[in-house]
Amino acid sequence: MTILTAAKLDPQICPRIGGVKSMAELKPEIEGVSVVVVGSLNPAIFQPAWFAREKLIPQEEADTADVKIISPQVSVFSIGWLNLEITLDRFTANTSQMQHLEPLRDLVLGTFTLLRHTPVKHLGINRMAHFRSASEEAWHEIGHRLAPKEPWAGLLEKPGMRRVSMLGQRSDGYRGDITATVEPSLVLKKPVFGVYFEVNDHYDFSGEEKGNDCERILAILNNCWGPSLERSSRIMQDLMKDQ
Amino acid sequence: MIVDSCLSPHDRTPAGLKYLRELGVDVATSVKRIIATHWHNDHVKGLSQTVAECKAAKFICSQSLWSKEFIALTDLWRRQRLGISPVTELTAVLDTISKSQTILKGGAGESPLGFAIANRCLWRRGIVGNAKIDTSAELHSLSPSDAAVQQSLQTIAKLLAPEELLTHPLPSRPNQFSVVLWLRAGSIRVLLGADLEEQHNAAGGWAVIVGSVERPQEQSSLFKIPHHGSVTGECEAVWKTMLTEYPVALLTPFHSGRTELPTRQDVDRICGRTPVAFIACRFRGSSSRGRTGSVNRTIHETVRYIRPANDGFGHVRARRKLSQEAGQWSVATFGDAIPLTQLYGGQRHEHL
Amino acid sequence: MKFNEPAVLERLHLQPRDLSSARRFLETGVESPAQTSPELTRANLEIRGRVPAASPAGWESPRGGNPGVRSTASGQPKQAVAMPSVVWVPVIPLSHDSFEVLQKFEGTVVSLTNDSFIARLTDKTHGSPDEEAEIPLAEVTRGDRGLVNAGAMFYWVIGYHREAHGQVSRSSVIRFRRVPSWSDADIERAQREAETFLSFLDLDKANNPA
Repeated sequence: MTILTAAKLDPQICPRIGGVKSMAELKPEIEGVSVVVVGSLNPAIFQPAWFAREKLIPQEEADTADVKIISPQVSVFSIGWLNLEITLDRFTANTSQMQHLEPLRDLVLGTFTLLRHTPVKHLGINRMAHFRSASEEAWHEIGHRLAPKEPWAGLLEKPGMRRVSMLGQRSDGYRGDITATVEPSLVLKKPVFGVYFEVNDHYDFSGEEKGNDCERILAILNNCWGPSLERSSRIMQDLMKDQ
Repeated sequence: MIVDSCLSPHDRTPAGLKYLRELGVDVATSVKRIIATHWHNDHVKGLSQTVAECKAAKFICSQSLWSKEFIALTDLWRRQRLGISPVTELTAVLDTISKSQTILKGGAGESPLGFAIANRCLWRRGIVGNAKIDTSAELHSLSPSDAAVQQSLQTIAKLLAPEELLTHPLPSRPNQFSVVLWLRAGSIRVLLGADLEEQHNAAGGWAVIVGSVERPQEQSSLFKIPHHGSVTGECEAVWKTMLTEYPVALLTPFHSGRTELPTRQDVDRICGRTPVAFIACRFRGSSSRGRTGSVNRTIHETVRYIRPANDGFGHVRARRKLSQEAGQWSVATFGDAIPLTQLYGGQRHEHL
Repeated sequence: MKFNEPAVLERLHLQPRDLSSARRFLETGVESPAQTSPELTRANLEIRGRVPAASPAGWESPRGGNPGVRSTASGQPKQAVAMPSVVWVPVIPLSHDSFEVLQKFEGTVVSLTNDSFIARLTDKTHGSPDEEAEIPLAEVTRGDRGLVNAGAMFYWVIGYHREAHGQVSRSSVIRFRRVPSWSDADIERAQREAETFLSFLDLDKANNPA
């Protein structure tokens, strides 16, 4: 477990519905999902026109893409609901539009179906969310729970949780790990008190034999997408539910 | 024996397994044959689970499903994760069966797989128990014909083109390749018509079955009407030569888009041939799902209609004692099953 | 993605605090000033609410000078050292719009009419039994209409779209699933594998099922 602390206010979470605890699922203010593939890539080919030509996105989305840069070293562009960033060793696709989660997965599936000989080492299915606390007191409470202050008494003045990251092992037979991080939200600023969650579902193929790299990530995206997102949602909701 | 599969809408379990378990049958040991008559959506849902759980059963299907072309197709479809039940169910069945040691070359023991073709015996049993009662039984497939199998292989091979794979993942008319079954238990005979339609050609269809001299010639007293009672599944010669007078007739409805089978004319035709006809459920009404108001408003602002894909759920049970050579069928309806005459209104029939 | 491993940091000439910055440094090995993004602004660097810390002492901003030259604390340029060029990776601003999903269907097209399609809908939100609906083609975005064929899959999501400034609107989104076409080589490979698979099976026994 890694805890980075600083003399700051404790981030807390509380169900935001009228400040009263609710058994209903809490809705984040902002959330997003990203898929990251680490391997050997050629960023120059990842242009909106390529995705449209391969019918992975409609031509209209390619025509109106917001292209930041396309180069042999890095490509970055957005097509409204989807942001793509590709470097020599990393492919990142992310969206904050929850109605487009499956299209995000399909786009990554389609890309690496077409580029199935790409050597890949890691796959990450990541979820992030900003939740609003009902009050400052509620916001402090989660820090007390995740990072008790007693061990720090006498060592730090007014210690507060700055960030907590927990690493968990996989139990599904894949190599890799799952990391959950909680910290104050710097997007939901005062007078609002918010908490930021990030869950990184990491699959590691770096030590395995080559030849079937993309088949593995295609299988994971096909079979583990739903369970991965459900797990990350459960982590976030469970950490908040007693607040 | 389980022929085809659908899912109970309440708990999404295969209906055949659920029914047998409710009767106290140990499906893992007692089910000897599972037959897939063809690959339409309304006949295969839950098939893979049925095959997986009925461990002693042999899976029977058309040989065309085990051709190189079809297996290549299922592999490509599986990679694309096409959301079509026949694809997912059949690939799962292939996976289950191919894991059996007895299907490998050189493997000892009975194969978990059997091919149905015209005039082939799929299963038989001698007399068991009391020798005074004829408890012998046999199951025969009456179709598809050799020509129909060849046609289906050619149809499947045509799908192996990049554009076809995406736009027509499955042939739209596999009905001509349906497996028709004839079952005898003691002196009782049953004809299960699957979805076979009349072809009006020598390659297949009902006329070819009727005209076959190799098929069992005894007449059946219970008939599962083909293709949801549609006129395309109708063949007068079947009623005249393959069925007793006034057989018990059973069928299931089909309702998709503007197509409703059986039509009123179909009901009149069938009821004119036998007064003892039952259908597994009515056509569905409107959809009421308990969704929130804003969701329902949005749905109804978007669609022209929305209704349950499966209407209620029901089954027709027909029983007859082996010990009574000249006995009658006892028919009971459960759930939403009704006499066919009530489908479009009409007088109630008393149950037999 | 172990960014905080020492080997990775050393290679990219980064300090741990740079990991929390919205700036990304990319070592290119090739000097190509034209690749820097002119749109890099402070606002664009806002991600997770953080803004970049002051540049580490000695590094020049690519706008302010030669990216390959370090300054000493006195501000006098040192003797030029061959340093790899860097490309600023622009950051797409975090969207503050959100979408609250109320209902999600996965649909499969059953048949088409002139101006609509019939689809079977699977309720992915509540798991209710499947439904069938007729949906006008006008509800499908123009770019997806070529995908509306029998067997095609689509996603239908209903919910509330909340814009950053607070405006809420009820929204219905139908988007068809896109899968890449198969090449002739893919099909030939699948057939070869199928042939190999079948060669291991004794299908002769299947012709004597009784």
